[in-house]
Order: sequence, then structure tokens, then C-alpha cells
Amino acid sequence: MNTLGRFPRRRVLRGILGGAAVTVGVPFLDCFLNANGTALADTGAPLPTRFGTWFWGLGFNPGRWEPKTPGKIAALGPELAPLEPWKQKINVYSGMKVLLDGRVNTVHFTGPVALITGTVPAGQTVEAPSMDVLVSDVIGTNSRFRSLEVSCTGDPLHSQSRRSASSINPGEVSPLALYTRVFGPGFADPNAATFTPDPHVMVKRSALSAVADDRKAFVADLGAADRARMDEYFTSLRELEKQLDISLQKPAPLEACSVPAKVDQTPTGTEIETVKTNHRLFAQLLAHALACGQTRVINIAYANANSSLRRAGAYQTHHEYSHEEPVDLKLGYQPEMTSFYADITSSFADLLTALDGIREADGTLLDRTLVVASTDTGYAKLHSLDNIPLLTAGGASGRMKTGLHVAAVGDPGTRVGLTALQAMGIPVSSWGTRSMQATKAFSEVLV
Amino acid sequence: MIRISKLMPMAAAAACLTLWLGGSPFGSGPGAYADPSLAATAPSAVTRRISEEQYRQIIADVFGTSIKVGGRFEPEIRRDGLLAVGAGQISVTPSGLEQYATMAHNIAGQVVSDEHRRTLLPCKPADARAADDACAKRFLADVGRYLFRRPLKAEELDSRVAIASSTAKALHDFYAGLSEALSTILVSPNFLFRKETVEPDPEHPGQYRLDGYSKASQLSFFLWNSVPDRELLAAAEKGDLNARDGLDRQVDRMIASPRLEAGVRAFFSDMLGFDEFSTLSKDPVIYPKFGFQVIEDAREQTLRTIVDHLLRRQGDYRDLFTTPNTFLTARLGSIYGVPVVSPDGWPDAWVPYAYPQGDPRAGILAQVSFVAIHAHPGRSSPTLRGKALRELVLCQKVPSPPPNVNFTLVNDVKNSEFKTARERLTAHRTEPTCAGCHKIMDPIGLGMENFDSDGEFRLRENGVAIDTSGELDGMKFTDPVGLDKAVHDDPATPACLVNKVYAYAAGRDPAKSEAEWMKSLGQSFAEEGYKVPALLKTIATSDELYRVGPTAMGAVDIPRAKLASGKQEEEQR
Amino acid sequence: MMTFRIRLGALAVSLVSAAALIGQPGALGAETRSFVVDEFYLASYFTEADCPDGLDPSAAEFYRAQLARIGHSKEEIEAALKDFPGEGGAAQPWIPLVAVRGDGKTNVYANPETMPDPGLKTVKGRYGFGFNLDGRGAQSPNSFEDPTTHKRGIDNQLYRVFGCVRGFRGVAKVAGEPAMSNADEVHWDKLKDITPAMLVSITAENGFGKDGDVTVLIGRALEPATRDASGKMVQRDMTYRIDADPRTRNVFHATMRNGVIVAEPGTLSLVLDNYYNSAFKFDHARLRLRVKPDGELSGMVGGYTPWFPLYHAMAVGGYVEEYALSADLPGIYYALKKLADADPDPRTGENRSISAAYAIEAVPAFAIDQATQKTATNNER
Repeated sequence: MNTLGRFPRRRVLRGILGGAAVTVGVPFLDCFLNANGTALADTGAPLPTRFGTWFWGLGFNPGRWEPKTPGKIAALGPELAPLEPWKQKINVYSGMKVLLDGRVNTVHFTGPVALITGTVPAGQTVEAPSMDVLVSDVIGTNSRFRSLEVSCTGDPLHSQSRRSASSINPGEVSPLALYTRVFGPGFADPNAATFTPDPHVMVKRSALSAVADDRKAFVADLGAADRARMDEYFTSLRELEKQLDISLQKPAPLEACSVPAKVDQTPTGTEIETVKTNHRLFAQLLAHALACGQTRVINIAYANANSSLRRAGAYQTHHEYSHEEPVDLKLGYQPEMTSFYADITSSFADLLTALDGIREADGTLLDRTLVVASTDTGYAKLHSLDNIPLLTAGGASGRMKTGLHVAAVGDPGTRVGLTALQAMGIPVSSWGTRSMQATKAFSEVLV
Repeated sequence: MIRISKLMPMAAAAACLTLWLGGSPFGSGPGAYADPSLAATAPSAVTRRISEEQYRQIIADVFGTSIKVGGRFEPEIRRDGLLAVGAGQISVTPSGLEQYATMAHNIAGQVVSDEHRRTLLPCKPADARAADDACAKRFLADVGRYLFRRPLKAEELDSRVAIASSTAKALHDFYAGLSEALSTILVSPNFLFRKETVEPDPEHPGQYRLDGYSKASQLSFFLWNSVPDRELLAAAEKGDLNARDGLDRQVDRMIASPRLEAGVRAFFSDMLGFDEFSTLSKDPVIYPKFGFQVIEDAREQTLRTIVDHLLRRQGDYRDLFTTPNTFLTARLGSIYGVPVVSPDGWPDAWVPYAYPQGDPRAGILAQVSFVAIHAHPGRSSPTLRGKALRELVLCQKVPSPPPNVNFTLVNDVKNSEFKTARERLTAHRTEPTCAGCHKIMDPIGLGMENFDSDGEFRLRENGVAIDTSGELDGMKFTDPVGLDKAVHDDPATPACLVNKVYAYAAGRDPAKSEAEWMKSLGQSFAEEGYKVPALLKTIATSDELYRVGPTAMGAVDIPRAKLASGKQEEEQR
Repeated sequence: MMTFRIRLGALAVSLVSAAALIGQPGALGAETRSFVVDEFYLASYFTEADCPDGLDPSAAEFYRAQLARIGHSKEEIEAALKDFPGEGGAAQPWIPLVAVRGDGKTNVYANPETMPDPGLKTVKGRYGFGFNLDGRGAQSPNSFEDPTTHKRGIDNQLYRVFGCVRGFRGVAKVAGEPAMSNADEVHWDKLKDITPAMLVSITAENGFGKDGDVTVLIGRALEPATRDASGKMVQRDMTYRIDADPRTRNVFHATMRNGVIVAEPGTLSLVLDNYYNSAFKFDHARLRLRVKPDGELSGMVGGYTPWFPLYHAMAVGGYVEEYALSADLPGIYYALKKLADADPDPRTGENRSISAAYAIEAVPAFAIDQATQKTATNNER
């Protein structure tokens, strides 16, 4: 029986609560219908493209990461050496910058915010949402989690994903907590033979209507600013309702999905081995979360923009080295500072390994994903906003060519964001504001 | 190569000069979204999200301390130096609400469990396997009044009773129904957010004030960090809080209550940035003493010191920076280098401790909670400590570092073997582009270099004796004792406290219209011997704390995530 | 590169007059420093040359030989030792056999002499750590030469007994210094948290910077040692209370010369825990200690210690000690008995004590002596 309209939720659920648990008669959400709305999606709909962001602090040393020539990547610079095995599946964008239009460059803040939201912040005030929010607003509305954020350094506020100035989507800091949240109670294995809607979930879902009912009276006499914040709260409430709705539906089977093994409790913190371990665990869990349809958008904050990464026994952190360590005249760079880049890029390689390790359709999950990797500076020692490294990884389900180096010297870094949004099928013709407004995507990488 | 403009040193110095004149380069005032046209009138009402501390305190106060609150709380943000002000700018993200919902179910499940229902539920259902609207209504109205800080409206109560009923019927379990209904109260915006309801002020026609329940709420979150108790709610209902003597009576009662301690702890935790404890860590190779137990003990030590000094001893606030009296555990004793013997031998026991006269470890600035938070994982930081003193204790904002600093000037390769922090920071003091701001911070922090990054007291660094001379706004000192005295004597110290206590209570920085009143608050604080309970009373019984303007309707348009495709969430109600 | 710092821990004593006072108040200029023991272990010196006849056999090897001796068939033995040692727990088939491998199937741990001496290989190397306890110097037939000072006549028969047993070998943390055996490492790691801490309180009459008379108090604390954040070492500068019980208080008179403290012979008696060794006792005990530049205490205590309690401490572990450390317990019994070199039993003439040296590593601590009730806090109450 097909249902194209919307049933008032209470009427349907009441029917279920009064009797035994049933799977017939429950309104199907749009995501399970094909384009005509006449058949279940698992009878042949294309698998969705996934999106991810990856953030690290302190850029790379100019001249040591970019390939020498634009076009097909022959060889990566030494600081990207761990990505050599992946050079066919990534794109590297060099020479790009953040244009301030006279606004203050608050170090380790203005740069990353401008690149990830498209707008240079005014002082401390972020004026636009991050690109992953734009993407999840379109592709994440029908998955159990609109997006999943993780923070590998143990601080949830290192996440770069934000909807508004004061609304940062906090990152999970514990892989075990992420596992429990995604694959613990509340997880419905798409490939399970049977599915029974949980009556406890039904009552939870029904009960939330009382909370939504509180809305009118609450916002009645609020000012505009408070209203906007309460809008956000009620949006979150709808997300929760949707999450429960989804868990009351039999999920469509997903061949690529396998439930990962439970992970152990791990310590969290900024010591580099701890960060790498947690990142590896997160990467595995998030890859499975994508393959199992739990979300379509993942956001990984490897470190904060300052990069508080450190090595056991060292007096200085990555950040302190960037400013205090003298440049070795023979090598031409700061040795301790630069040593962290090897850890950072090998961790990014771990993410690609996790995504590429899951076969999906006629390729891998990585082929059906687009990850945008951004950072906060070009040459960190000087807080330079020139030649800021930007990378993408994955083929976006065939919509993005890979293995290319784009040298766009002097262009705003938002061109990468625009290109990514278009590759994801988001119909935008520009992204960003003022001098950071990008109006031309990189056609050389778009299919 | 980045050229340093000749104007840079002047700009940097100018930026630093600004803070002396009381302004801040990044703006202050009631938050980023406020309508500037209202600055001339009373400040607008602010809706604040409750904090993790408050959430826990409320559950403990309403349901008892045996109810376990677990889960991850959505992070708070700091604005104008306080989480209490940031509370007026945050909302709840999807993952945050997911967590609140899980927590709510967890708590509600415990409340109705066998173990707790005897003491927490006022009635028994006629049949435990069926709905019982009367009993459900009684319970939900009762707890709802505390949790919403006002009686539930008819429709709010009716919908919850209906949920209790339908759930009980579906699951054949009265208590499951009650639990579900209770969890919707704990997830409601009326619980998670403190809304300020205003009414016209009959004593000042044309002006507005918080209504009775909002007043009660303002008071109880201020003084007790929790919801109003039965007596305070009753006073609000009767209108007592609108009368001078009624308000005085309640405030006196609240200040005399043992629950004041929770409020004072919450305030100082916020003011001193103790939320940073959750991500504090030191390199275990360099600082093998600094484990998680030391971190827990350090937070407790300072809060105990503060409560003991301000509440039990009714001490002068300024003496917090010089007091030799504190509390230690054996682990803290190991950090500070003093023996700590607990009477019964329990190694985790708290022992009152008094440093001898003139000991540099006196005062809260010498405690781990200050010197370790404001330092790096691998070494101390005079700059971070100086900055912290300025911002947290003196309310003086320090500008951010300029982005295009040419560090090649400060890399003197020949002298790379700097032995002490003072030597390492020479360039901060001598380079014009750096000195403008660093001379505001470094001379303070260099006076604290006796305290290593983990708080241990030391006389030498890398074999070289540490020179702890410095100055604070013209007051020179030669050691931490001198620095503490300079902080004690600085008029900015009590002025800053007054400013922060009011901002904490009101949820916003003082408005321009309140400037005169802030000055008089400072004067009365001094006249009363800088006693904090007196300051709390003055603020709690003031008109200003409750004089809130009408809300600014339609003033500012907040950009939303609109896309060219125009696809947006539809409202379903 | 770890940069060296002088910790204030020890210096704080004089700065804030938080001295731990023991015995009589010190004279003008006297200084007291206290330490809590981090490691206390048989001082061994491991090289390739220690055991020219090879190491003692592994547990499987000596079980095979000894089970055959009392008449078990090859098949029985192989069946029992299949998957040796197995997952642990008393259900393993080899355990009931090896426990009673004495003549007449007697419990060999309680009655080691029901089995002939298997002939444990003992240390034959030239070097060993310890003291010249019997005063006979190089004439002492079984003595060692100290590998660093090259003093001869070092008496440490206990090291000889254990030094070729597999589980009792180890690697020195610093080359040329006493090494801790694997067995001691394992034992100490378990005990550190529960056994009463050992405290060393040193009062230097002329202060620690000058030569002069020194009093050393070694006692046990009322509480166990606390580990630091890394979990490996004992945390510095914690506070302990020295037990007033006279059975565990030992005072040594010593002198300090060039920073090295050497004590006159005395007795060291410590009652600690029941598991590892319920009572350490050294007669003719010698001490040699020094405070290192980083404030830690390092040194050695030596003397004659009764050997049977050492055997007993292992015997109560029985097959667990045997398989985990490849320690043939009856073999160790016989070796201890044979190499014991002091305190002859008046009836049998057999020596009841064996020469030994133990290395001490301790970190600064505050020690409050319960006997004198002298506290170091400035508690205004």
C-alpha cells in the first residue's frame, strides 16, 4: 500500500499503540520512495553521495606540499608524502587565499571561519553557517543523524561545524560514545531479516508532541534574537522526532553496511598518539555509519586551528613550535614544527583507508563521498592567509574528477567550497560574501 | 616576506591603550544580536539556557542526590568573560537535544523506579498496570511547578497527563507512562531555558519589571544556582517579591541558607574559568605528579578556600589573594611541597592548612587552579597568567595578537639556550611591535614564575635562580607575595568583582544606563568591608536586577541557512 | 632532551620549616630529609658470563624430569603438559601432578626434602654488588668483586642462588648499576599499592652539603605508597606517617663523606606484607646511601637474612611461582640451604642466614613520625 500524502502522526501511531506492533499502515517517509513516489527506494534507487569535512591546524610549509605543476598529479610535495598512495583519489588546490576586505585577522579564527563558512567574520562574530550545514540541510534531512561531528583532541568545541555564531555543533570526543550513539541501542541494522518497531520508541515519539506544543506559548513574547535561538531549539526537536520516526521504519537493506565491532574506552587529549588513535577509531566508525545509512554528512576536527597537538615529553606544542622554533637554515623549515605534518597527513590517509575499505556498488565508499579538507593558515609561523592548503578526496559518485592539482594563485579559497557544493548537487551558483564570494567553480575538476 | 608597517607599533599600542580607558576593541554589551536602539532604555529580557551545573543542581534539589545524572552536556560558551552571559546566546543543537532526551528518560526512569517511587511520588495508582490520571496529574503538577519555575498552564499539564495515560495504556504500566510524561517536562524549553516574563511596573509607570515567577527564578539561579524552593515560589505567587520587606525577607533567608554555597561556587567557577579543567592536561613525562586526581583536587581546593573565606569567615574579598588559609589533600601537598596528614589516614581527605606568614604560596593566585590552567602542557607561561589576571580578576580585556608578526626578529639563534622564561620573553619586552601588549601581561606573569606549569613551587629554572620582580600598573613587587598585595590594593579588583557578579546575575554585561548604579554598588561594597554576602544582598534586593525592558520585537534579522534552491524545512504545526 | 631542574621538594624543608623531625631535635645546622621507597630489590648484576653452565631449566623441562623420577610414564607426562601452562586456573592437568612430586607423592612445596636436590645452577660470575659482611675480604671463598669499585670480598650469596633462574634474570636500567630481576619487577608492581610504604629519614648533623655525622631511620609507613600520574613511579613529596611500632623502626648511626652515607653495622627489621615477604630482617646490616642531584635517594642495604622465610614466601605460591618464573622451588630450597653463610643452628650446625644485598631507590617524601608525634604541618589548629 502506497501512501503519498502525510498522515497526521498521532492518528497513525494511536492505531499502533492500541494493538500489537505492525509494519503496515505506517506512513513511509519520502526517502523510501523512488522519484515517482510509487515504489520503495530499495528497488533500485541510486545510492546517495556522502559529504565530509576534515580540519587540521597550521597549514603546511609553502613549497613543500604542492605538486610542482598543475594538472594531473605526478608527485606530491614531501609534506603530503603519506598521501602518495592516494594521489589518484584526491585533488590538491594551491595558491588560494582569504581576502579580508579590511576586517581584522583574528589569528587561528578568521582564516578557518572564512574558508568553512564563506564569510570573513566581523571580529568574533561568525555570520554564516559552515558548508557542511548547507549540505546536510539538503541531503541529511532524512537520515537518522543529520550529520555526525567528532573532535579528535578531546574538546567538543574544536568542531568547525556551526549553524550560527553561537551554535557550534559539538564534536564527540570519545569513540566509544560515538559507537554507542550510532550503533548502540536505537540502531536498526538495515540488513536484519526482521524488523519490529519498538513500542518504547513509539511512545517516546508520541510524547514529543507535547514538547512541540509548548512552542507557541514560549515564543509568543520573545524578541527577535531569542526567537531565532528558539527556532534552532525547535529545529533540533524536529530532528529528534525525525530520528525516532526513522527508527520506527524498516530501513532499506544496504549491501555495503556491516556493523563494526564495539570499540574500547580510550583516553582523550592532545598528545599526538592519543589523537591518532582516536582519529583512527572515529574514521572507522564514521565510515560504517555512512555505509549503514545512519548519516550522510561527517565532520572531523583533527585538531583546533591553533593545533594544540604535542608529543610526550616535549615542552612545546605544535603551535608553540610554529612561532618559536628557528628555521633550520640547511633544511629551510622548522624541523619539530614540521614533524607534526607527517602525523596529520598520515591520519588523513587513515580516513581515506577507512572510506576506501568499504565496497559499495561498483566501487568504494570513498568513490561515493566527497571530503573537503581545510585548515587555518598558509605559512603558520606568520599566520599567513596566502597559499592556504586545501584538498578534496573522493569522487562524489562520479561527479568529481580526482588526481588533479589545481593552482589557483590569488583566488579566494571559497572556490573550493563552491566546487564541492556543486559536486554534491547543491544548486548554487555562488558561495561566500564580499571578496570571498566565489562565482566560478573549478570546471577542471567537475564532471 | 611580510613587511612590518611602521604604523603597527602605534596601532598595537593604541589597541592596548584602549583597554585602559575601559573600552574593549571587540565591543561589549548585551550580546551580538542586541538592538542598539534600546541602549538608552532598560536592557531587554534575555532567555538563558540552563548550564550543566544548574541542571545537575536542579535534579539533586528536586529529586534528591541519589538520582544519577549521566550523559554529555552540550558545551556552553563564554561571552564577556562569563558562561552566564553566553547562556543568553546559545540554543540547543540536534546532537545536544538528543543528549538531553536521553538524559531525561534516564532521570525519569530512576524517579519512578521501585527504589525511588516511595519517596518521590505523592500517590499510588489504583492499578499499577493501568493509567491513573488523578495520580499522574498530582505528581506532574507538583514537580512541574519546580522544574518550570511556575505552575504548569492547563494545556501544559493536560497534554502531559494525556501522555502518561496513553503510554500507560499502551505499555500496561502506570509508571512507564509517568516516566514518559516527566521526561517531556525535562526536555521542554520551559525547563531548559529561563524565559524572562515582564510586566508593567506600577511603581514606575512606563517602565517594566520581571513578573513574580521570573523574579523568583532570577533570585534562585543567582544565589543558589537552582530553581526556587517551595517558600520562594509561594512568595512569588503572593506578590511578596514586589514589596521591599517581602523581597528582603526572602533574600535574607536565601543568603543564610546552606544552599548559598552552591551559588557562590557556581559563580566563582564561572568567573575563574574552571570549565577549562575539563580539557586540562600536562605532559606526564615532564610533570609526573599531575594526574586526574590532582586536577579534581585543585578545583575543589580553590572553591573550598573561597567558600571558607567569604562565607564562613565573612572575609574581605580582596584578602582571597593573600590569605594563607586553604584546604589540602596529600596529593596537593605533594604539588605545593608541604606535608598533609589527615586525621584518619584517608589519603583523599581534605585537611585545613595554613601557610606561615609571608609564604609565597598564600592566596588563590598561587593555587593550581590558577597557575596550571593558565600555562602550557609542557612549561609555564607568564603571558597566559598575566592575561588571565587582567581578564578574570581585573576585568581588563587584552587584545588579540596581531596576525602579521615577523617572528624572524625574535629568533636570535645565538641565544637559543634561554634558561628561564624571563630570558625567553625578552623579545616580548624589547620589540616595539610586541611590547605594546606584552608589557600589560608579562610583568605580572613573570612574578609567578616560582610556580611551574603544574603548580609546583620552584626557586630555579634550568639551574638559574628565578627573578620574580615585576609590576602591576605602577605597583612594583619582587615576589609573589608582593604581587598578591598589588592585586589586593588595586581598585580594579573589587570593581571587577562587582561587575562580574551583576553580569552573572543578570545574564548580561551591565548596560550603559546602569553605569552610575555600578559605581554606587562599588562604593557600598567598599563601605561594607568588601564582604561578598553583603554585595549579593545589595544586588539581589535592587530594582536594577529586575528592571527589564520590553522585548525587542522584529529588531534584527538573523541570517538563516537559505539556499538558492529554496528548499527549507516546513513547519508541521 | 630532558632539561635538568633542581626540584624544590627537598629544599622546601628548610624554606618553610616543614621539617620531618625524628628522634632528638637536631642541633643547629642539622637538616632532615625523608624519602619513600620506590624500588627495593635484590641487587643483581647480569651479564653473559654469570652462568657459564647455562641458565636453570624452564618449568616444563624440570617438571618433565622430576615427574619421570617418581615414576610417571612418558605418555602421562606429555598428556599433562600438553598446552603447558594453559589458561591458568586450578583445572590444568599438570598442577596436581607437580604439586606432589616428592617421594610418595608428597607435597613438595611443604616438604622439599622429599625430593633429591635437583642441583640448581648458581651464579659463577666474578662480579656482584653488596658489602663485605664477614670482614674477610678477598679471602672469602664465595665473594664477588664489585663491578664498579672493584672492591673484592663482596658477600651476596642470595644473588648467587637466584641469578641463574630464568624468571630472576633482568636488565639493568643503567649499565653498571644493580639490576632488578624480572621477578622482583612483577612482585613490586603488584605490591606497591598495598604494602605499607618503606620510609627512610636521614638527619645530617651538619646539613647535607657537608661531611659529618648522620642518623638514618628506616621504618614502615601506616599507608601504602602512592603512584604518580604515569603510574610507574611513586609520587614525590607525598606525606606518610612512620609507624611507632618498635619492631619496624631501625636507627642507624652513619657518617656522610663526599655525599655518600655509610652506616655502622646494625639491624634492619621491617614487617611489611604477608604476600611477598612478611618480614625483612638483616643482621650485621650495612647501609650505603647517597642523595642524587635530582633529589632522589639511591643506595644499598646488605646483611645476613634468614633464608627459610624467603623460601616460604615463594612456597606459598607453589606452582604459580614455579611456572611463572621457571623457579624450581625444591631446587631453590636446596640452593639456599647450601649457600647460606651465616648464623649456624646450634643443633645442626647448618647456616640459617644468607648474605644478601638489596638496592634501594627512593623519592623525597614528608614523613611524620608517629612515635615522637612531631608533625610538620603549620596547622593553626
